Amino acid sequence: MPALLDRRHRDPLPEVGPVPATATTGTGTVDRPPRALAGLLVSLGGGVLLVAVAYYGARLNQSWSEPLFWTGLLVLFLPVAFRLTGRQASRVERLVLVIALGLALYIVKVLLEPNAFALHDELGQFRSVADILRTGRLYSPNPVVPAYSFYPGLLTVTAALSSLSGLGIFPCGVIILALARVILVGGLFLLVERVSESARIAGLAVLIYAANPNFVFFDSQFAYESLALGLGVMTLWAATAVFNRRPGRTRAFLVVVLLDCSLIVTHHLTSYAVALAIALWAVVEAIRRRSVRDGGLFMLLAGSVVAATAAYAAWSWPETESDIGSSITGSINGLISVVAGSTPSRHPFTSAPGYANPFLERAVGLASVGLLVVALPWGLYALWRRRPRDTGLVILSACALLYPVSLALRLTSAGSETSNRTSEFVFVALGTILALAFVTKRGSRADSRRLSILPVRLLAGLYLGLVFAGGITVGNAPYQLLPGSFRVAAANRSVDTEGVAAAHWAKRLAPGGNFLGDETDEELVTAYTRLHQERGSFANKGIGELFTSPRLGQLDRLLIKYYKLRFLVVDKRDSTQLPADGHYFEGSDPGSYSRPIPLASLTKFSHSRCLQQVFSSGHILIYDAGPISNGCK
Amino acid sequence: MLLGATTAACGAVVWLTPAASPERVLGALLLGLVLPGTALSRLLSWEDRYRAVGRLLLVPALSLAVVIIASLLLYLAGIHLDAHSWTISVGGVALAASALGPLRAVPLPRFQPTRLEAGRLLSLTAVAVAVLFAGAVFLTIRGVRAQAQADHFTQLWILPSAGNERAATIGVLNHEAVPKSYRVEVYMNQSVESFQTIRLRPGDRWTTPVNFTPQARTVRVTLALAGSPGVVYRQVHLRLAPTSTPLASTPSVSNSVP
Repeated sequence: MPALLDRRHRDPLPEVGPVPATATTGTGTVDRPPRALAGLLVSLGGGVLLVAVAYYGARLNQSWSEPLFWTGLLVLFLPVAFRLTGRQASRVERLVLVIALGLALYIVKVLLEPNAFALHDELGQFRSVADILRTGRLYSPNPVVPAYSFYPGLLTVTAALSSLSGLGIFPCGVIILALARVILVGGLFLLVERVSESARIAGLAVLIYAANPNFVFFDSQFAYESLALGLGVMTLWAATAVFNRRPGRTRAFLVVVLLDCSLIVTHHLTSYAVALAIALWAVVEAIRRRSVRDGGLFMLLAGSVVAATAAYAAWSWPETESDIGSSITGSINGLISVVAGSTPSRHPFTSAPGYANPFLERAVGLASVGLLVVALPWGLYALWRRRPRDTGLVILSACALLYPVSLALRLTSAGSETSNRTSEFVFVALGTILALAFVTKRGSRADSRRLSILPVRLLAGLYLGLVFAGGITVGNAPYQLLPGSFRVAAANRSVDTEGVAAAHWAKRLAPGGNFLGDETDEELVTAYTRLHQERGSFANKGIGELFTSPRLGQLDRLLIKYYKLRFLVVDKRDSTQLPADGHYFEGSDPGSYSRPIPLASLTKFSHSRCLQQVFSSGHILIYDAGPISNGCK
Repeated sequence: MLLGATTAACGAVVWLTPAASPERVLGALLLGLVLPGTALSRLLSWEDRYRAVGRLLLVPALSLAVVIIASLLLYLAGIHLDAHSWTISVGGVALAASALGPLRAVPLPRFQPTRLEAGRLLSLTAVAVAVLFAGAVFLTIRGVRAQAQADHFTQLWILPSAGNERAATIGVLNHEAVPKSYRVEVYMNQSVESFQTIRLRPGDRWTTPVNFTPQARTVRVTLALAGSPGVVYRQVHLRLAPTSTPLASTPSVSNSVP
């Protein structure tokens, strides 16, 4: 790293005058130590420490933890934003800063759940890695989300590292995702730098990308998309070498093929987005070049990427349809219903009926969205004034226009999830276009110098800080952000020692048996055992009815038989709170809830002579329903 | 040459050293996440003004790609995915690419050595960041431990023996953060058949086999804290099908794992 820091390339399209002579010389030798960079790295460390103190307080239920958490995040983000908006930083400093920021924000997620995976996707993927290690084969059915095992990129890398090193799945996953984060932010920097020919724009684009609602938490979790995003941007970066006629582009072509093949089996949506981008890029570039040789190469690249992606998508579609197909059609139908007035629009910032985010968080979230929307035309105007030579920049500007469209989907319940999951793709384009607005104010290089004036930079830093903080509130429920006491159906807050210990105990149960439990217990037991969670409906009601009905009736017995339920995992704490995310059961709720499930409904199984209570840890009870399946009445 | 030798050494370390030992972890990290990408990036990198940074990022990206594609090909070939097959396949790619590398390798630009002053500043920065990070880790460990101790509970279970429905295993696990004494009572058809007092330290597990009388229809196990013997703290139960063949004349309860 020290050697790298000595190397300085001038911005190929400097927006702001000559490089200060005191920083470097043409030989690449540093005349002055990079004090600003050193200070910023220490401030990043300080930010991480503040967040750790906030988490410590939250674990002890201290009220000061939440303001300290936000302070820590802003200490992480704002100094870097301030530095990147200016013109003094060298290219390498910008690159080091964005990578360090990306890693620091990844550490924020790791410190939240530092000893085991706790989120839905993480636990689901954990199960598939365990299956690979156990069977030595791929594509074992995943009971949580069938698509997980059909996109085994992250699973195989984790299983390979675990098998080679002897470490557990969790530490291997943490290491791989740290690497994926470095690849993502570094690759994005190189990609934007290539298309914009400016390291300053690249740094700002990555900074704005880090403000997307999923960057800090969702895309740091142990899930296929977290790895795929890094592979995706590296694929696109390598593709730019093919499109820009760099020497050795045949080798770049091979790198694209290699990276894209691994991407295709890692994550569906990312591979679709990359294939679409490359195809679009190739077509536009071929038309612009009017060269048969170039056009042929571009079409070969686009054709092979699109064909491979489409072939794998078609093969895996039966398993991925439930993951993405239904959510996309649901979003579109929901939006049509809202526009037609047949369905009321969803209230933003409400994760469950009766539960709304605090006012300040809502205000910051709305402000961040508003600031992004307002700045978008400005960025497009700046792009137009630059007369971009690179096709990539033009394609990115078209993609940035998808941002307002994605916001419209948030008006529907089904579309909210889809809108949220497009953020990590749309922000690649949005970040680049908005960065143009920062660097080339009104398209004039002379005007862009204004951004070097301290008050203007402070204002720009404030803007970026608001967008960053708002992104976090938009993408995450408040209860997810900090650790703390147990909450019902509240993602990581529902995973506690008792639940994990019960799931580990359940390894003793006969493998392959079907079971039913609440959302969290299903995720935990599925991850750590070889049992199969059930979900669905029976007699037009979600099978969670089995837990909410006051008595174990004939219908409940039929349900147990029909679904071949061998075990019932009951958490008595479901009788103490409404579910934070609105659902006690995943895909099996019998309806909406106005009050918690009565305790008598949850413990009714103890009084049945056809059910055996084989486990108790106080809150969590496990029943063996085998006798009912065997004919006990 | 050096790359090939390093790959071979890492493969040997992965095969020959105990799981999770530091040398094996290092060997695995290099073999899985660094060496294939290093070898391939030497072979496949292209002329570029900024190729140094690009190649640095290509190393992990290509390594990950190699592991993913190799795993897929191994699976398609019907080969069991394990440490041996991964070592051979991933290491093989790294060895092959490093053998071909000198034919096409694009040399990286040489960097000027760091000046002393800058080097010292960066060292100080690294130390400061490490101290801050260590503080964050320390606080996190303390917080997680405190929270885990707040989640105190005791597990009680009864598991029928596989293939013998007239026998089972009873178990207790103390997760109360402090040593606890328990009274375990086994009831068959509502009457106490046996009881035992046990003392467990935090994290200790106690299990015992139990055989049921032929007359037993229900088996209930209760756990009480020694200080409150009349209050049922945990309970579990089994329903038994009638049988004519006695498997044990009397129930036996013994402490197997204190």
